[in-house]
Amino acid sequence: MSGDSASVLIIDDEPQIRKFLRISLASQGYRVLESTDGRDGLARAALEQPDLVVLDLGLPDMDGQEVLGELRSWTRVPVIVLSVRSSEAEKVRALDAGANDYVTKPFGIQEFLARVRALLRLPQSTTNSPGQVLCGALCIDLAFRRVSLGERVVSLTKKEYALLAELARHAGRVVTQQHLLKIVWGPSHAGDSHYLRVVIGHLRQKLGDDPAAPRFIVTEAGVGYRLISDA
Amino acid sequence: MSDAMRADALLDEAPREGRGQLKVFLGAAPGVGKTYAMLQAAQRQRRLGRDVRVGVVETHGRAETAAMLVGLADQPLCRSEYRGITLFELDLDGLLAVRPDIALVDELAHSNAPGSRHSKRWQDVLELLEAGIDIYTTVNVQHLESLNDQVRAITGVQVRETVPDWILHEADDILLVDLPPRELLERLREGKVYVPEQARAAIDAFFTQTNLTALRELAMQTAAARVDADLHRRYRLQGQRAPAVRGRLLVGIDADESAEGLVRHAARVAERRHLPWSVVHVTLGAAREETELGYLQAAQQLAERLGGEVVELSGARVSRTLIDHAHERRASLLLVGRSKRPRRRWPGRFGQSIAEQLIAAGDGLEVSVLDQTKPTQRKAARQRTGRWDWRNYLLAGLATLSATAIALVLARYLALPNISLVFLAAVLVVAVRSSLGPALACAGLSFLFYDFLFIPPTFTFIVARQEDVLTLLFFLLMAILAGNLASRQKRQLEALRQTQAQTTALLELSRRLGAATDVQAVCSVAVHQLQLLADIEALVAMRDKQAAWVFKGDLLPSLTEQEQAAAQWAWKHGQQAGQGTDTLPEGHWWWLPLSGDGQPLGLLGIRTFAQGRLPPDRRRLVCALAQPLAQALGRAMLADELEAARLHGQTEELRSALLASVSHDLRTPLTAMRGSIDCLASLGHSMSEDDRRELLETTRDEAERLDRYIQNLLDMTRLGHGGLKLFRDWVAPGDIVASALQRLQRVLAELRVEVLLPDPLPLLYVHPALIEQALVNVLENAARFSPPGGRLQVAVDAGSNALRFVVSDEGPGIPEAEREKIFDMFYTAARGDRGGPGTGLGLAICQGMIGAHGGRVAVGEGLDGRGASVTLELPLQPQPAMDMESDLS
Repeated sequence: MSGDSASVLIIDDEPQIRKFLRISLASQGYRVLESTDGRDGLARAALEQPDLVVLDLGLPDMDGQEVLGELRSWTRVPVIVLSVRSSEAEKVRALDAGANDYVTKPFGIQEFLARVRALLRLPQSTTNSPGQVLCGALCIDLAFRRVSLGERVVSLTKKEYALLAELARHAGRVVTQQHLLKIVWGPSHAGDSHYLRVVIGHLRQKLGDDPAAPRFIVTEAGVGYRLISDA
Repeated sequence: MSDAMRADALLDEAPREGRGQLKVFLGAAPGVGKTYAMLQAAQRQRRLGRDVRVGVVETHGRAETAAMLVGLADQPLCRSEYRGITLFELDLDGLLAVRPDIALVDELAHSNAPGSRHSKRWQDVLELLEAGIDIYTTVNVQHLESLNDQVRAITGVQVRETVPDWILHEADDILLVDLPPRELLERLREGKVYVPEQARAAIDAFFTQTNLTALRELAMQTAAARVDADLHRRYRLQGQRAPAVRGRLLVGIDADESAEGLVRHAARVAERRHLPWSVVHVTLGAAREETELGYLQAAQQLAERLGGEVVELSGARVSRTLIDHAHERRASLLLVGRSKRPRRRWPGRFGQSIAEQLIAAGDGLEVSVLDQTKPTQRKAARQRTGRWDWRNYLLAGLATLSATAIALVLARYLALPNISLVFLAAVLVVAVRSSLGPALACAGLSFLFYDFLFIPPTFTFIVARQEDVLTLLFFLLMAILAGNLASRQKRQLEALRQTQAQTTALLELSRRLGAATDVQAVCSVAVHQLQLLADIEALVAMRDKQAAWVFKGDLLPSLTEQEQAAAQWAWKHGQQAGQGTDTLPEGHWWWLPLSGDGQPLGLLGIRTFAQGRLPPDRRRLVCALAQPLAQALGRAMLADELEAARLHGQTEELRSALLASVSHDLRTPLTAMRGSIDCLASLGHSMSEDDRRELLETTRDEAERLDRYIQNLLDMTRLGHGGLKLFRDWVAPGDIVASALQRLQRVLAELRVEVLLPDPLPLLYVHPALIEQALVNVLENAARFSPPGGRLQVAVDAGSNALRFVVSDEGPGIPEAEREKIFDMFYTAARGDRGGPGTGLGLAICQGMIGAHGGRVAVGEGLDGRGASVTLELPLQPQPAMDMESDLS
C-alpha cells in the first residue's frame, strides 16, 4: 500500500471485463492491478498487498472459491466476487468462505463502484466498529444503541435492534441470512429464515421503508440483506 | 380355389425354412435293423463330406452295429444322478452348441431322466430340428400313440413309451426297415436281438410269428398312409385339388375307461378320412367321482396330443345335445361307444342306449358305434351310491311323513283326490332338493301312504272303489313325471349356471381388456381376472430393453432356477413350459407365451394353490384367455409406442419453433446494440450530446433485454428437462415485488407504476428466484403493451389459502379467445415474428414456474375494464410458528 489512492487487484481472465473495470476504477482515482488467473493473482496479492481484490469466480486454472480460500488463509483484505446470476448457492458459499460482497454479472458499473467504496471506507481491521452509521435520514448510533429517523427516535425491540446493528456494522455490504440468524438468534436457528423475514418486515415498517421500493434495507434474494449506506 | 389351397400348402412348407430335416427309420419290432440302417445312411453322408455326429446310439452290444459307428464323431452323453443310479442322456446343449449338419438320435420314444430339460426325447429332437440340425432317428411302430391300443390288442403287451403321431407327419422322410418275421425270429434265436433279462418272458410272448406279422402289416400301413399324405400334399403344392374336407368327426365320450380307446379310434378314422375331429363330452350336471374325472382328463389330453379338438357341453339329454352340436359344427360322422354296462340312469327315452337314440334322431348324420371290447367293471356302478344318497333318501322319507301329517290335518276339508296334491308337493320338493332317485322313492312312499291312510278302506292296501284305483294310478304317474321333470330341470340349471359363470368370466375379461389402454393396465386386468376365475396365482412376465425380466402382478414371486429356466425356454421357443408340460416340469409355475406376430410379447405365469396340477378344463380356459390377452398386450404396446412417437414429434416441432424464436429474439437486441455502437463509433463526433447519450442508453437497454431473453432460455431448458428443483424458503411477497421492479427499472421508467401492498402479508414458501422471474416476465409483457405514460398496477392480495399477484395494464387487452392460449409455449412460439416485439416465451415460462409451485395463472380484464390483467396465484403454506419469546425486546 503506497500513496493516498487505494490499490485494487482485479483477478479475471476476460480482457474486456478487465478493461472496463480498469477504466472505471481509474476514473475514480484508484490504482489498478490486473491478473489473468488464480496463481498469478495470489502471487500479486502477496507481493503488492492491494487494498481490495476483485475476484472472478470462473477462472481458468483454479476455482475462484479456492483462490478465496487461499487468500483468506493469510490476509483479511476485502474481496468482491463476480458471479453469474442464477447461482445463489455459489454466492452464499463465497460469502461464507470470507468474501465481503458480490456483484452479479452482468452488472451496472455504479452498483459495482458503490460496493467498492463501501468496502474501502472501513479501516482494515474490523474490530473497531464505526460509531455512527448514516443512511439518508436514518442514523444508527452503535455506541449509544440509538436509532433515529431524522429527529425522531425509533423504538425497536431487542431483536430488531440487533439485526439493524449487524447490518449497520456491514453498511453497504451484503450480510448473509445465515450470519444474521446466527448473530441475532444463535447458531441453532441458522435455518429459520422466516424469523428473519418477519423481523425485517417489522423493522421496515418502523423505519417507514416501503417494501416495494426500500430505501434502507435491501433484500438480496436468496443471499441476505444489505443496508444502503451513504457513499 | 386351387390357388388358395396351393397357398396353404406353401405356407405349411414355409416354417421348414431354417429347420432341420427329420429322417425316421421305422421298424415293426426291435431287432429288424433300424439302428444299423441309420448308421449306414450316416456313413454315406459322412463320405459325402457332411458333418455327422452321434447324439445317442444304442448298439445293445451288437458287434456289427458297433462296427458301423467307426469313423463317426461322437457327442458324449451327459450323465446325471437320480436316486443313486447313474443315468446317461442325450447331451442336448452340447449338440446345440456344436451344431453339426446331421445328428443321430436313436430310440425316438425314449423318456428322459428326471431333471432333463424335456421329459421326452422326441422333444429334444424337435429342439434340435428348430436349431437347423438334421436328425436321423429310429422308432418302432408300437411306439406310435394312435396305434398303442392296436398293438396291445395284437401282442398283449402294453407299450408305455409313446411318440405322438404328428412327429411322423413332421418327418421329411420315413424309411421302412423291414425284415420278414421268420428271419427276425432266427436272429432272436441267434442272440442278435437285444433282450433285457427282465423282459424275457414278455419278449417271448411278443416275438411270435403271428404278432410279428401283424406288427409288420401295421408298420407297412403306417408308412403307406404317410406316402399317401405326401402324395396329396404334392398335389396341392402343384395346385391340384386335394380331396375336399367332408364335414367333421365328432366322438362322444363318457367319463369311463373306454374313453381313451374311443379317442384313439377316432383319431385313426379321422386321419384315414381326412377329417378334422373333436372330442365331445356331455355333462348332465351331476357330480363326478375322482376316478371318472381321471379317465375323462386322460382321454381329453390324449385327444389334444393326437390333434383333435376338445369340447365340453352340458345339457339335459346326451343324445339331443350331441346331435345339436353336430348340426352346429356341420359334422358328418358321429362316433360313440357302446358299453355293456347296465344302464345306471334313466337314459331318457325308455331304455334306449345313447347309440340307439342317436341313430334314431340323427337325421343325415352318419353314426358309428364302436363296441368296447374291454370287460366292464361293475364295481364302479355300485360305488356310485356315495355318501350323499342316503341323506337324500332320508329327506324323501321325511318329506313323505310331513306330507302325510299335513294331509291328515287337511283330510277334513279336502276331497280325496285333492289330498294327493299334498303328496305331490312333497315329491316336487324332494326332486328339486336332491336328485331323481330320492324323488322317485318319495313318490313311491307317498303312493303307499296315500293308499294306506286315505283311500277307503283306510289302513289297508286294498282299494275298494274303481275310481280310486284310477286316482291312485294317476297320482303315481304324475308323481313320477313331476319328479323326473323337476330333477332334470335342476340338473340343467346347475349345468347352465356353471357354463354361464365361465362365459361371464370370459366376457368380463374381454371387456376389461378392451378398456385397458396401456401395458400396465392390461397386465393388472389380466392378473386380476385370472385370479378370480380359478384358484390360481397369475402374473405377466415381460422383458425390458435390457432383456431383464419385469414381472407384473399382485405379488412378485421368487423363482427357483428351474422356474426361471422354464420361463427362459418358453420365451425363446414360443411354447408352453413349466409345470404340467413336458418341458422343465419341475417347479410350481406354468408359463404360457403371449405372442404377437411370432415375437413373444410376454409370458403368462400360472401357479395353482391347490395340490398337483391344474385340471384340464381350467388349463383350457387359461389357454383360451391367453389369446385375447396377447392381443390386448400387443395393442397396448402399440399404443404406448404411438404415444411416444407422438410426444417425440411434438418435441421436435417445439424445438424447431424455439430455434426460430431464439434466432429472432437474440438477434433483435443485438441488431439495435450493434447499430447504435457503430453509429457512435463512426459518426459520434458529428452528433449532438443528446443523441450520443440516447444511443448509449439504447445500447444499455438492449443489453439488458438480451440478458433477460437469455435468462428466459435458460429457464426454459430447466423447465423442459423436467428437472426444476425447488429450493423453497420463506419469502416476503413485498421483497419479490421490489426485486422485480428493481430489475425492470428502466423498462418501467415511462409508465406510472402503482404498487398496492396490504400490510401485513403472509410469507410465501417458494423458490424466490423463480417467482421473481415469473413476475418479471409478466411485468415486462404488460409494459410492452402499455401506452406511454399509461398506468401499470401491481397488487398483492392474500386469501386464506392462496396469495395472488395481480398485474394490470391499460394496453389493448387480450381477447377472450386467446386468454387461455397465450401461456401455451407452442402458440406463442409458433407465431414467431408476427407476434410482436418479443415472443411470449416469457409467459409460458411464467406458467411453468408458477405451476411448479402448485399455483396457477389467470388472465382477465385490466384497469377500468380496459387492458389486461394477469394473476399469479400461489398456494399458501401454513405460516410457521414464531417463538414469541424470541421477539420481545
